[in-house]
Amino acid sequence: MTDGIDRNQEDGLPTAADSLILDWFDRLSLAVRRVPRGVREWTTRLIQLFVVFAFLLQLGLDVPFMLNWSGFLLSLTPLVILIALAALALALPVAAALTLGRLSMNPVARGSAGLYVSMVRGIPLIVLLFFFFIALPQLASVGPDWLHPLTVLSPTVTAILAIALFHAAYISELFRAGFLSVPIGQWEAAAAIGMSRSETKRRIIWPQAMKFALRPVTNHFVMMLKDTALVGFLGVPILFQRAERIGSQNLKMFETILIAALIYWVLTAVSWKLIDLLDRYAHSR
Amino acid sequence: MIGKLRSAGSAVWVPPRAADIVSVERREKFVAAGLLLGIVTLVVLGLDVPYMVENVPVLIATIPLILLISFWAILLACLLGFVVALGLLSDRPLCYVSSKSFVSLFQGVPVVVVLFLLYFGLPHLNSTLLLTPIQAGILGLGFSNAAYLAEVFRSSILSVPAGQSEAACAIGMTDTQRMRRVVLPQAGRIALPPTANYYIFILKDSALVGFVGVAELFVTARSIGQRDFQMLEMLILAGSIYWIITIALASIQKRLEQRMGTAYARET
Repeated sequence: MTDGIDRNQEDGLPTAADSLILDWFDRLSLAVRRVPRGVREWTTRLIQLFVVFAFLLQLGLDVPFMLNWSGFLLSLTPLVILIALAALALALPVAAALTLGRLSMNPVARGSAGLYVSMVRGIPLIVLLFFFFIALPQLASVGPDWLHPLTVLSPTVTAILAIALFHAAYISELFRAGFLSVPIGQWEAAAAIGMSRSETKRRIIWPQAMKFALRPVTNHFVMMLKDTALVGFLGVPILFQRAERIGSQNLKMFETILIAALIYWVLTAVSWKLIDLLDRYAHSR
Repeated sequence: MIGKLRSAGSAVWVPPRAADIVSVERREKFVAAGLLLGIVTLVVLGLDVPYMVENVPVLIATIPLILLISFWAILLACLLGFVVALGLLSDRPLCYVSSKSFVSLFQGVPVVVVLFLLYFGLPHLNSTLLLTPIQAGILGLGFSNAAYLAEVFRSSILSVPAGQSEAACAIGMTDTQRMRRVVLPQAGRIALPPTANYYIFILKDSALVGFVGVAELFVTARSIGQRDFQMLEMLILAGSIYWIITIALASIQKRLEQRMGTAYARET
C-alpha cells in the first residue's frame, strides 16, 4: 500500500514493468502471427533439426565419417525400393485371391483362406522370413526334381516372397473390409436394373471397394519398405545390414545406422506424399 | 453409369440372406479345423516330433518375458503417444511441429533400426549411454509404437462429438476440466480397442528384441535350432506359439470391444 510498492503486485495483476514486457511480447507474437503458418512451421522444423544435430555433435557425432559413407549407403537404396515394389506386385494378386476365397459362399474356400489369414497374421514377419529361408529348400529334398529350382531360391527372392505372402493376409482383410463397406443399396440398385450377381460385383461393387481400400493398401507399401530392414538377417546385402556391418567394423554404429534411419525416413516421407497425391487423384474422379 | 438392362426373363440376383452366411460360417470353421489337422499330420509325419515336444517348455518359459516387455512397451507408448497426440491437436507451431516430426520419424524408421540405434549405436556415440538389452527393447518398441498410438489417440479425441465439449463450456468448465472430465473419458473408451490391438502388434514385434540380446521366444528357438541343426522344427514351434498367443489376446480384445460397445448401447 505504502510507498514504492505497486498496488498491482499484491493483487497478482500485471505491474507497470510487466505490462511493458507484455506489450513487447504481444507485439512480437502479433508480428509472428502475421507470418504465414507454413513458413512458421518450416522455420520451427529447421530450428529443431539444428538443435538435435547440435546435441548429437555435443555427444560426439563423427560427421566426416558419416559423409564418407553416406554415398555408399545411398547407392544401396534402389534395392530397398525394388524389393518393396516386387513384394507389393506379388502381394496384390495373392490378396485378391484370398479375398475372393473369404467372400465366396463355398465353405472350403472360406475355411482355407480364413485359416491362412489367421495364421499369417498371428506370426511375426521375422519368423516367417526364416521359415521360408529354411523350409523351402527342405521341401525340395523330399519333393520331385522339377520342384528343385522353384524352392531353392536366392535370399532376395525368398525375402520378396515372404514379405509378399505376409502382407497379402493383411491386404486381403482390407479388400474384404472395403467390399463389405459398400452400402447394400448399391447391390439392390444393381439388382433392380437387372444386373447378374457377377456383373454387379464387377461393375458396381469392386470399383467402389477398391476406392475404399486404396489408402490402407498403399499404407502397406510403406510397411513393406520398412520391413526390408529385416531382410538383412537372411544375408541380403541391404541398406540396414550394410550400415550395421560398416558401423561395427569402425566402432561407429550410431553414425551409420543414423544414415540408414534417415534414408528410411526420407523414403517413407516421400511415399506418404505420393500416396496422398494418388488418393486425392482417385477420390477426385 | 446405368448398366446394361437385361430382358425380363433373366434371373435377378438377390443378396444372400443372413441365415445362409451363418451356416456357411459354421461349415467354414469345420473346413479350417480339418485343414489344420491335415497340416499338423504332415508336420508330424515329416518332422522330429519328440525333439519338438522336448523343447516346448524352454520356449514356453520365455512367454512371461515377452508379455512383460510388451506390457512396459505399450505403457511407455501410451504415455508418450498421449502427449504427442495433445501436441498434434495443439494450435502452437512448436508443439504441433515437434509432434508431427516425432510421428513421421518413428513411423518412417523400422523398429529394428531404432532398436539397433539404441542398443549398439548409443554406446559408440558416447560410452556413458549404455542400455541393457531389455531397456533398449522396451524403449525401441515403445517409441516406435507411440507414433502410431498418437494418431489413434488424436483421432479418438477428435471423434468425441463437438456438442460434448460445447456443453462443458456452457456450464463453465475451464479448458483443462473440460478435457479431463468430459472429453478424455469418452475418447478413452473409443481408443481402448485399437490400443489393445497395438499390444498384439508389439507382442509380435518383440521377436525383434532378440537381435539386441534379449533371450525372448524367437531368438531362443533359433539358437536351439542352430545348435541341433533342427531349425525347421524350432521355427514351426515358435510360429505356433506366437499364433496361439495372438489368438488368445485377440479373443480377449474382442470381448473388451463388446463390453465397450454395450455401454453405448445402453445409453442410446
